[in-house]
Amino acid sequence: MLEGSLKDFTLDEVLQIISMGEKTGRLILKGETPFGKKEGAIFFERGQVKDAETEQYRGEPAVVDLLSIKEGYFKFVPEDVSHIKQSINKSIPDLVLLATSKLDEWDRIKNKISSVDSVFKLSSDGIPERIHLTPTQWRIISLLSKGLTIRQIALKLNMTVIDVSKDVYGLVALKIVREVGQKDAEGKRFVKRRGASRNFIIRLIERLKRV
Amino acid sequence: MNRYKIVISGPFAAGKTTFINTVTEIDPVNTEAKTTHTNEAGIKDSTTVAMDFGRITLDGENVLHIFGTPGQFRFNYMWSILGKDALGIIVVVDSGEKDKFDEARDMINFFRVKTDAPLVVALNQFENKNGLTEDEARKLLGLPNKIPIISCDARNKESVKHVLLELLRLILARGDTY
Repeated sequence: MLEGSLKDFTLDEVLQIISMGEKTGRLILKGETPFGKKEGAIFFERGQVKDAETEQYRGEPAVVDLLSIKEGYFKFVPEDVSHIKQSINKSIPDLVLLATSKLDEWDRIKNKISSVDSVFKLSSDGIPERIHLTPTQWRIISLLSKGLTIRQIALKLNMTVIDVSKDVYGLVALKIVREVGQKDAEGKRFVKRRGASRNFIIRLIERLKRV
Repeated sequence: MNRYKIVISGPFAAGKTTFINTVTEIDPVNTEAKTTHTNEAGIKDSTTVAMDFGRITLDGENVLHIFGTPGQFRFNYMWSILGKDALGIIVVVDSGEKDKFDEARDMINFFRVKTDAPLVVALNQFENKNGLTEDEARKLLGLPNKIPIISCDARNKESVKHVLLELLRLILARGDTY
């Protein structure tokens, strides 16, 4: 049974764990949203969302309602859901994107993106088969793969950095792109890189062989 | 001083603490407590509650820290803390404990979601156990081919080194370095 606080996991991370594990059962959610307290459940069959319910809604509106929970508690209970009627046909990645599109909090975006000057590269995992990206998202992927930062892309596409960040957040959450470093505000020079140097890893391999 | 980190994770009693103790150059730091859950106390007397810690020094400027996580899902907040900015993740799975594979799968998916770090699975083959092969374990874990699965013996230094080297080669191959 998966159970915990949404301080430790974001909701889209919980959805991904259930999806990747192809779990069947009921995800119970309870917590605070900008619109008050929400409580409900999302039903999964073999990792796909089948239905959802809150006090007010059933189906997709209920999922959207539950995805707005920022602080709270989750519990996944494995159980048979064959009696539940299928009311949702969107894939988990699409629901994550839907939730992302509703985001307007930079704090949440910062969970996945360090800065608007961050640089990304395409993940070696590739793009999931079951996903629908908008033309804008495809353009952003193309520009990210050329090494442009969020700030540079916003200028190029005549969008706000927040709007570009929201799309990049979704792409990072889906593991389509990943952050590899940052440029300075002029977008010319790398001021920070994540990870270790290639030289360090090569020397570490040699060191480890001698341990 | 540049400090880098690799995280060793895996279900309860998979051999994580042994894995670190086998390869660390310092006396390992363990945060063990007496097991209290009845189903766990029957397996071993103590369990890691915060983290294990080992170290491999490269030179005066660079050092690799090896952190081991607690195995139980109720300690998942430590997985998040330790997994942050890790160079790579090794999930240790006991090849003879089929009933722990569902738990291991959740753990692997947790790190795949929470971090961008490369991940390998170390299939711990204890003596006198009819353990699963790498192919059988891959199937049971639902592991994609891009995640390596390597048989090892957590008590054997050469075997543990082999797993660590595979992870380091994966980090190089993925181009995460600069």
